[in-house]
Amino acid sequence: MPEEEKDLYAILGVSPLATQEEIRHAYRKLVRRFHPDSGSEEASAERFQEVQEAYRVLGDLARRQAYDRRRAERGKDLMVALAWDILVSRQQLQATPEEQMLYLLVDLKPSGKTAFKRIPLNLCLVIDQSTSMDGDRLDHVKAAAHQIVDELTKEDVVGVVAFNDRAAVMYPAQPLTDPLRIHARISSIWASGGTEILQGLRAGLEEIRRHHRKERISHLILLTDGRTYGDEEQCLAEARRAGLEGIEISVLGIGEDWNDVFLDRLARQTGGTSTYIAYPQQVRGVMRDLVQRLTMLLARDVMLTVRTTERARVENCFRSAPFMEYLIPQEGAYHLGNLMAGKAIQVLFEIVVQEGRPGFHPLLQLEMSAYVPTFNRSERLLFDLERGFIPEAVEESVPPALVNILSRLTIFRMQEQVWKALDTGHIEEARRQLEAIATRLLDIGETELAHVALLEAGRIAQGGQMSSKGQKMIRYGTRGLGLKGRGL
Amino acid sequence: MIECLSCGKKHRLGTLFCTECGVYLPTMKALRTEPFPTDELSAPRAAAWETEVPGNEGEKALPVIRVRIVDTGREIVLPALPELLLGRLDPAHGIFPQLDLGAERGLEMGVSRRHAKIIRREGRTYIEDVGSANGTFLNGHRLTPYLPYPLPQESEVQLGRLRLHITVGVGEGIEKDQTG
Repeated sequence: MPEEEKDLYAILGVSPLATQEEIRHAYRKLVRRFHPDSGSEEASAERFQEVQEAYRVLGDLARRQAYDRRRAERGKDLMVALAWDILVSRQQLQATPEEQMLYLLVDLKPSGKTAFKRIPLNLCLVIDQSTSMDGDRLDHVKAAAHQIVDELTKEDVVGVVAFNDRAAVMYPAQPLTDPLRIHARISSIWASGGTEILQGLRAGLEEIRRHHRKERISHLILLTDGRTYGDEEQCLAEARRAGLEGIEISVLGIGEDWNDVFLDRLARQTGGTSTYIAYPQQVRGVMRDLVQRLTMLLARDVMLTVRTTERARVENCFRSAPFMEYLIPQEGAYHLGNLMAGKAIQVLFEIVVQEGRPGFHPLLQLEMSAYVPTFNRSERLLFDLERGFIPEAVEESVPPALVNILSRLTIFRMQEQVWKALDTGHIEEARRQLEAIATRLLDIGETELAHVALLEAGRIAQGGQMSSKGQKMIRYGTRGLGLKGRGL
Repeated sequence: MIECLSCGKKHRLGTLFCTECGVYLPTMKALRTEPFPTDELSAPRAAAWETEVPGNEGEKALPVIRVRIVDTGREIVLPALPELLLGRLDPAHGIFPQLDLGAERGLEMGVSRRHAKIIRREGRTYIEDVGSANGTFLNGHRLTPYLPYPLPQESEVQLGRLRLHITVGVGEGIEKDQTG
């Protein structure tokens, strides 16, 4: 019997998360119980041999890791951190020379069967202290920062940078051993001056780099309400560099005046996201969620690879949850970033299929790989998609979950077309699209967002452009549609 | 290829949503072979929003849909918009039917919030059940959901257990306050 058929951890009676020391300890105890010469009542040559075989693998770290990987790949392992559900729009396809569309929805999530270990943070808050932040905005940001500090532990590293035209390190990054001092430093941030994001970004990244280790999650949170002028390209270059080093940047934009397109790009360079905060009162909740999510990291470097056969190709790929975005493959792989415990990553593929001969044909192979810090190893999942092709037209119902996600994703795509139309001066086209979006939003019960879209369509008709607030509401509102869809 | 009924964009077989206008494509399969030109539809499509829109530029008699609630005898005249939703008002879920049957004991008669649609295309009128819980009946015949059926000039339509007498006609009957 191949060793994969037996659960070696069960034989030794230890958890797959057990340390080498615990495994050794368990082994010794079992030897005393089962050794044929031990004189114990349970002595059994068979059991003894089984225990020895299990220890030969698990007692050796390299062999144990290879065994873990094999278990994970077969997907049956109880200790696999990640699992997936895959929905396909059609079970059968028509054998026709015409091209056909096939949708593939991948729902990647924690298997729910693993113990979760919190990973320490290396966090830096980069706070905009320009004049426009004065009053409510800065007060709420400071309150949020105080709260974050209270919720972190001694194992976390925290730094605080404030910036206007220049940057000041308010609290150099260090393990959180003296919370009183950091609270005092946060309280002493006052508003004055302009906004130069590059200054703050550089100082913040420098603080993070001093404590950047593989066993910590390095993350920079940029809070701003304004625009930066002239240093955008340099900011993006800094972000790109940080992304390559494994440092993530999140942007929280407050109010209407910040440049969402630029800051969203900045965050994306690193695998992070930007969030639109309409009212200062929301900062606390948003920031708390963000930090909580960071400490719930289950897997990083999540990646999907599609290997198509000659009769299929990927037309488009989207992330639909936790937020919506177009995904562009890099060297054939779709990079999905981090997976948080309790949160799923959902990806939708549009596959174009062309096959004229009836029969059963393979279409593609999908591979997921990710690094799981809790286990200190990578995991891999494989899925082969094959479909029967029949001569007649296919009439079958589509899984409702897939229809639901697609209806929301379609709105997101229409919204992207609005920006494109506006950018290229196709005002009428943009207005028409916005009205269509409003109709679809009403269809799915998103009344509030529908009204915003209608209002902005009216603005375009009158003045040829949208309001800054409306743009942000639609951009961030449609991006979040996938989340709400999940509950239905 | 399949063609979007609402905007005329062509899609591959098996496509579920029109990327241009967001319409769910499988529900239009009955009319797939009769696509409609984009330019003709863009204006009325926008009007589907504002129920008070029609009538303002039309000196000519506009087509109207007359609905008589059989049990109470109440009659309602509706402008023949490209799409009329029949159902029960539910602002909380963003459902604003042009014909709200909530006041006609719609709930206990089994009318869904989104029950059926009356659709006008190229001068012809269709009725379509939009996935109601208790079904839509046209002259006693139960409609397959999401399939538009031609609506005769006079017909007996039943939403759940609520009976309606619907006449498609020309309207001197639109009241001024309705047209805004």
